[in-house]
Amino acid sequence: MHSTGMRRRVGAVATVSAVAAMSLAACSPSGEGAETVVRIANPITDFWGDPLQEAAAVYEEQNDGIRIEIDSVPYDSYEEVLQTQLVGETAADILFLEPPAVANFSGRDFLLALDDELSPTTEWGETFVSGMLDATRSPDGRQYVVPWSSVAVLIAYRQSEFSAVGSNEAPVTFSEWIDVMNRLESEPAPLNVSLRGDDASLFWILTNKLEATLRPLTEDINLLHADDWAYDPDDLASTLGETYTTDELYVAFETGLIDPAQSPGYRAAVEQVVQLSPFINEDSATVQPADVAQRFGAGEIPQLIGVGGTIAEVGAEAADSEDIATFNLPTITQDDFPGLAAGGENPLAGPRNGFAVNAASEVQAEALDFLRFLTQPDTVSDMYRVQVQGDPSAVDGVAYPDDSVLQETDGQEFAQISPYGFGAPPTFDTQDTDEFHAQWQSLLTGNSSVDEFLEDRSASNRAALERNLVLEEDSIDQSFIDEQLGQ
Amino acid sequence: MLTPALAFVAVFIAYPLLRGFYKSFFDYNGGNVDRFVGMKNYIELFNDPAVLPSFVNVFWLTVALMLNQVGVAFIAAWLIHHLRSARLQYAFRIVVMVPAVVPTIVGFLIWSQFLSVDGAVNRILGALGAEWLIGNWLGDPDRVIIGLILVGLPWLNGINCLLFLAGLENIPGERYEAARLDRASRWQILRYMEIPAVLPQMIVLGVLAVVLSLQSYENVYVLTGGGPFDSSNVPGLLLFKNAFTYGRFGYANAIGVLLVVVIAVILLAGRMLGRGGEDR
Amino acid sequence: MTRMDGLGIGRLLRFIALVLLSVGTLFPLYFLVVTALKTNTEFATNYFLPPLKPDFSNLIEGMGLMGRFVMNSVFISLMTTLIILLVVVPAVYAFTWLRFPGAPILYTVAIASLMVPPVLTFIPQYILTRQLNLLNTHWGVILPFVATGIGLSVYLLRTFFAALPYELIEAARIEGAGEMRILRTIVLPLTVPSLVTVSVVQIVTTWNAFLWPLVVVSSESKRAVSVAVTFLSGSSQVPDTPALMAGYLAASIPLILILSALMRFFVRGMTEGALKG
Repeated sequence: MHSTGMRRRVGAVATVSAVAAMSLAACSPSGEGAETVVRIANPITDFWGDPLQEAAAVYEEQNDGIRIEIDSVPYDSYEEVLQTQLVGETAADILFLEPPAVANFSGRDFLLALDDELSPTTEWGETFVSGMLDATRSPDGRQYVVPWSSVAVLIAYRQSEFSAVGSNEAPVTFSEWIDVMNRLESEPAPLNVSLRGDDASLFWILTNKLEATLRPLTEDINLLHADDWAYDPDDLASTLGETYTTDELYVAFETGLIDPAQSPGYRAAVEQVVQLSPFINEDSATVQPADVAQRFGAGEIPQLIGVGGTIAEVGAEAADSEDIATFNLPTITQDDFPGLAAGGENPLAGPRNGFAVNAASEVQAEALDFLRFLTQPDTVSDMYRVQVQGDPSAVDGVAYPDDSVLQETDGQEFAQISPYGFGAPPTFDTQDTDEFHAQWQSLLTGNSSVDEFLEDRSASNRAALERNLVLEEDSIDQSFIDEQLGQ
Repeated sequence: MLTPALAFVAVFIAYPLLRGFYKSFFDYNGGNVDRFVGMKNYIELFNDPAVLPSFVNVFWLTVALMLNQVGVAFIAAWLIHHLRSARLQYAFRIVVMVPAVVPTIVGFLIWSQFLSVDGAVNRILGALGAEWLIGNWLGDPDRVIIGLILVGLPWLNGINCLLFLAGLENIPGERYEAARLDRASRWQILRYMEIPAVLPQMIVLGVLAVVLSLQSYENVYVLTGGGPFDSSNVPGLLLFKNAFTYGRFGYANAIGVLLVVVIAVILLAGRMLGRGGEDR
Repeated sequence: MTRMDGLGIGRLLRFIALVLLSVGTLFPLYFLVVTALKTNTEFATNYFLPPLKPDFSNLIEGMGLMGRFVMNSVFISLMTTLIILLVVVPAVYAFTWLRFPGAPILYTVAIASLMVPPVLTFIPQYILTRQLNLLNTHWGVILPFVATGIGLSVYLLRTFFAALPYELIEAARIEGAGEMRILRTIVLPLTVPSLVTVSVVQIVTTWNAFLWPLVVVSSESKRAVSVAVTFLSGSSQVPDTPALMAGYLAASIPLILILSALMRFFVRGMTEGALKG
């Protein structure tokens, strides 16, 4: 026959698949007998290649006439390849993406909006860990991504080194943490980080603190909301379906609420993180994240900030692995910032990546059907058995293999609407992000002051918001902006 | 005789270039934004505070690359040329040629380690007693360009070396004989006989080094990403980031067009220089 | 052959300088080889020294992988180089020895690819390749590479062609030889070293090119070696540099074989050239 995918099945499961094929052929645009191909772009070195292959084989068996094709691309070149293919209109139907790429691509209309299928109140939406969908929404307020795996940022440390300087318990408040580091004497520095653009562990801390310090402003920022909406930080459901749209963010910026140069909450968060600056390694601007992890594994440095999966991996390989424990990042408190009324920091956890559907795909219905299959707890559990993964699933109720150290990520404690999006620095587009890294490096290495940093941030944020206003012209409510800014 | 070559260039270079030039007058992100904005991108280009420093950076990198690709390669060729043993000559030809197969990324890996805070460069400086020179070569905005210059330097370009060697071998033996009879010094032979013999290669390879260096971004991209704090940006990297990271293709094209103009001017200058050399 | 006379000490110093230069030049190759023979654990603690216990598993895996893709790269790089030579040599001949109107403009067009940053034309070239229906074919890699290589080849070869004595060409013309025949029987044999040099440059460039073959060729069986090896590099969190280096090393073995065959031409061509000159 015509199909290459048919080779997989040697005549078995005939009746079952025949029924499936008939029902599918009825809604398939490619007509009877023809095979529909759904292509998935996947960065090969990020673990999921083999499990995806297995899941695809199972799905093909259940759905006759559908073939799932996996386009593997090396991780380092993934975004360049996708850019080229999206502009050249040859990209795969399903794209495996990380949060910054989702924001970048959705802003250019490359991705299909999934709000109808995937709001938190739909049946599919309820499959995911709470807060996961809200955290993966794009700046325009829409849902483009089906969350896949999640991360939690933790600090791993050697208990013996902490107790040697008199700390028998892990620090809870930020000042306790600073206090421990003042006493730790280690070369090259008590806290080793990579401040390159590709390491998230430190700027995530800032974003997380900002989300806490800006949270009391939720009602002032979210001016365009559902009619009977009311915000309650302790009721996770109170932010369901609400997002900060670009026009709201622009207004909040221009009125100073979220302007780094004007917002007291913003300054408080920055001033707290900058206390880490004296303890940071000299080569922070150049060292690779993997080298920092390796220093910790080799016992050269006492602690490591990182995502749970990497920490578990590095910790397990270290010679003194029983000495290693983890603690959560100390949160900002009302002592640090009196304006912090609506709860402290949420656990620093959220989506690591997810699947988006190409807006130009001709087989969107089939792509979505496959993604529904892929995000069933049973499928996910099977995939973790194919290969032990570093990150837990974004899907609720997954059974992890016995030999894995994975735990379900904590859900959020406080309801919030994120101005910046999870997993990203506090920025509004990729250029803003790029500028952030330069300014952030400069601040933490002592080359610029907090004031200079806040001024630079303010300028970059404003430029990005203005770019977004242009990008989202069609959905921007200009009269709202004019009215709010009194023009 | 020209048609096939020109046809290839017209289809795969000139057409995409013209398209890129046309799009440089657009606000174009490859997706939903694609509108004519006239000179806006070019005006932004001349007001962009990142552009001028990036050209300054690439200037220094280019000078260094040229010294290496032309100077060091010529010295190596000259040394090989004056070896007495034909077998040694052949051996060195292989020695300079074989490393050409090693991908450039390997060189970057080595140098990022050499230049790290506790890397070879700092250790050597320490051993020489020059502690005041020790520093973070790729992480300090005041010295990152020096670090990047080092990355290209010590290995010679084998192909350039062979091209110079070919030029030197073309000098007829009788001329050396005559020079010897005239009691010409080694310096005089180099200055009046050998350098003029390879001058065309020098100009061509020098211009090539300049042209390739102006377009390059991979070294900076891999080693510093343009950092720290944007202190090591080069125009090629700005072009790359605007296109592939920010998706600002219109503005990226404007940067590209500016680069093409700069490079074209240098090529034409090189051509005139070459003519001057031929006339002499 | 004539050699310089000189003091023994000067010769020794020159020889030492040459050895030092060679050591520097060979260092990346050394690094490639020793890293390929390390495990990832050993590489973490021993960056530059040779491995205590060489581990060949990465190299064997790299060779196995390369075996499947090597013919793709051989075809792409040799075909690219061959086409470049076929179209460039007559063009350079014309630019050097024929006088015709518009020559400077056409020459500028011919070396245009030197002026154009590849990033600028990357996406338009991709769309063009799609429109020509060449995506996922080796020709989709080869034809744009030919165009990209023309500028450099014209630019380099012109110097060598111009160095030939004009009297040779003129004498042949007086004897009534056509231009193509002059090119074939007089110019080509005298310029073998430069042709080999240009070929070497093109083969190496094409062999190591990464992004374009990655984007154009999507099916695994048609993948170039340079693309295939990057699939060895481990995860983004825990990179496996030794596996990657082993891949590069394995991928460079056929390249070295091709280049050494070419080098033989180079040397022979040079001695012949010297005899005739």
